[in-house]
Amino acid sequence: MGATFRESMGWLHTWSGLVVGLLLFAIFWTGTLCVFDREIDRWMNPSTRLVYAGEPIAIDGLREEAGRLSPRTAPWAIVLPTSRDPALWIGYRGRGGFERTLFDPLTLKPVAPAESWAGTRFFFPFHHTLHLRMWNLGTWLTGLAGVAMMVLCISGVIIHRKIFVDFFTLRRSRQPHRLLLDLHNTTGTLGFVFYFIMSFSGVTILASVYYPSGVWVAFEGGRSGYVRDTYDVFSRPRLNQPGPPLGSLDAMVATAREAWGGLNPGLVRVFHHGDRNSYVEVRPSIEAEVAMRTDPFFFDAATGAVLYRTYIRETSQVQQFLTGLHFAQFRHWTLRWLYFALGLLGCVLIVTGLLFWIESRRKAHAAAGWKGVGFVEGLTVGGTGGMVLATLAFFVANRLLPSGATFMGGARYELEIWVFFAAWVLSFAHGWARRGAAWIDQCWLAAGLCILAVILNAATTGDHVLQAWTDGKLAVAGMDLVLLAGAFAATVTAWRLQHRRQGAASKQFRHHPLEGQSS
Amino acid sequence: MAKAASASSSAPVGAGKVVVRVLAIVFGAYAASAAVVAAGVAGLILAGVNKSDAFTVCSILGFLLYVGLAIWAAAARRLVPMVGTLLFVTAAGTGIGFLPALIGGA
Amino acid sequence: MEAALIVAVLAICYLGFALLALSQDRHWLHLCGERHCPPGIAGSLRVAGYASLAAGLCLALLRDGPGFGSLVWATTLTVASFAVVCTLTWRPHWLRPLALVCQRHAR
Repeated sequence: MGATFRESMGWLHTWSGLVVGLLLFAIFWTGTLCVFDREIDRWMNPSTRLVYAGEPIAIDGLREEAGRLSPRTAPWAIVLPTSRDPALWIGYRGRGGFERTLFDPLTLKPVAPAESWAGTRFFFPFHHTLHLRMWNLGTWLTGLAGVAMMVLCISGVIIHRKIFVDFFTLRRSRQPHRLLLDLHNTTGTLGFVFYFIMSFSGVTILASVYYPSGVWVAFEGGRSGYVRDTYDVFSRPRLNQPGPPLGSLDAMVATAREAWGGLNPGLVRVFHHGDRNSYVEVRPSIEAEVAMRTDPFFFDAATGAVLYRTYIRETSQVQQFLTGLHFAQFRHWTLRWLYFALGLLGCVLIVTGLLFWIESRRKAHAAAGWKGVGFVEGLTVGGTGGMVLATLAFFVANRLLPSGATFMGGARYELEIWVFFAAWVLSFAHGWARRGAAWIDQCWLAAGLCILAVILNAATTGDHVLQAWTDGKLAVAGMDLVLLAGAFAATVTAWRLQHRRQGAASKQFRHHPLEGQSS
Repeated sequence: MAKAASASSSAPVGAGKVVVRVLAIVFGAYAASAAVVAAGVAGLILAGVNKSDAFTVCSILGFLLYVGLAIWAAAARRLVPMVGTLLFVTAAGTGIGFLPALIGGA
Repeated sequence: MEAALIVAVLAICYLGFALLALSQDRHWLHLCGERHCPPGIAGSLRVAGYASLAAGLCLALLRDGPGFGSLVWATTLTVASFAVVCTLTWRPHWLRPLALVCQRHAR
């Protein structure tokens, strides 16, 4: 598509960037939020704002409780707390889907249920399914976007004329398209490695979904065969004979911990509870290493004897390293903040790319009477600014809806999600109605929503920044501070854009009295 | 970049050709890479490699192949040979990938 | 110690990129007022710049081991280089002392 290789790459970069840009922004934005998924969980589910600093935990006291809670046929699991996710919970597949019961990790007393899907159950699935479950459509679109991001990275480097000369160049130009291109180029060049590795590791996580061809060739039973063989999963069938009572889970955890060299357990799962063939899986925590380790021990439920120790092959360990560096569930605060910063930089990269497409064509399209620029401008406002507004509306709705609220058959968590999507759709409408001026409106609105969220948090939970900080609820204090920083950034942006717009309008008015309104 | 974009849009290209090329970039390159993954997995397993290893290595490389093929499909001068090559790779890869299973199953 | 080391990694990477930027004519002109960065100086600036980045890697590995350390370094490179870009654009005088030291060495 073009006379030279570079021109074809320009075509590819321009048009694939335009088509997948908004999809990529949605994925990048939710991915950036997911860096702090557990912190968002704490903020949105106040009952889980516990403080846990890694004290040793005895879970034998929960055996009775778990047996009573879960139906006899399904396995149940105890998910152990971490400092980021301090509530211990028992999970099982009940009649109404997956059920969780939360406990205080130190007293083992029940904690009020988490009512919001928040970060780990809303933003995280959105990041890789877009909440389009039909035919796995969202997963395939995300995969396509991931590959497109790699294509965009490479084609972007190829069409960049002076990558080394312009490496540090960001000109404060009065022409918007010049500044946008410089910003797009610098954020793209400087963050290249991060974006490429993130999109690459992102698609490899779901390799068995995206390459069913290879799965069919290699494994009997398709994907379940892949999981069984690759993750070396142990299982044994139910005998349907009552067995001896469940042995000490703490003893099994201690055995596993010693074999792992002191690594904490993350999950203890009991299969066929009460059956003679009942067994227990103990998995390590994913906090300690980059790689997302899944090498569990399997114990006989009654005697606590080791039945099996999973062995993960070296190639799969490489994949688990890629998975772990993408999921960022490790305990490393510096890296967490660096990921957050780079995620935001990626959002800037995508927005400036889209805005450059608009600004570099504005005059030509206006002269030719085309509607393309206006359409894309509204789309960009809704897809980028709207995504931010929808997120903030989601936070505010979470603090405004009373506990146990229902509306038109939707549970409280669903109402929050409806607010999210409603705000998103409205932002598109607003973008098409107001075009360029919509940015200013949306920046003011974002600033207002940020501050409102912080005030509502203090009003409804009493955990204002200072209180949360002194109580050791750093997740809550941190989220409030980030919201305040966001409010500041949005205010400055809105104020600057407004001045620039007024300046441009008055200048135009002086020269071309009739064109003053059209911009 | 602006120059490159305007230069390529100034040369009129038939809409049908653009559609074919876009389909080749998105679906053709994917199909070819998926077929090569199938062939690679089958070949490695025949060579005695563990099947999990074979799948992990081939699928990870498969994504890079997809990216490479997409870029090549966008850059290739002539449309018909490009589409033909992608179709041939898809057919050959599928054949090699699933042949051992067919023979073994028979 | 941990906190000091991460600040050191960030600072040394920032310094490295600032030196690399100075080795380019455009930024040398901007900060030193001379059209060209003298060739001998440009070469040593580049060596010093890359050496600083390598030192950053060593410190990151020392602090966090190979797994986390390499990730910390790779992400810090982006943050530090973007910080240099922002400094050059909005607060170039912050880098003038460094530029003056380099210029004095050039004579």
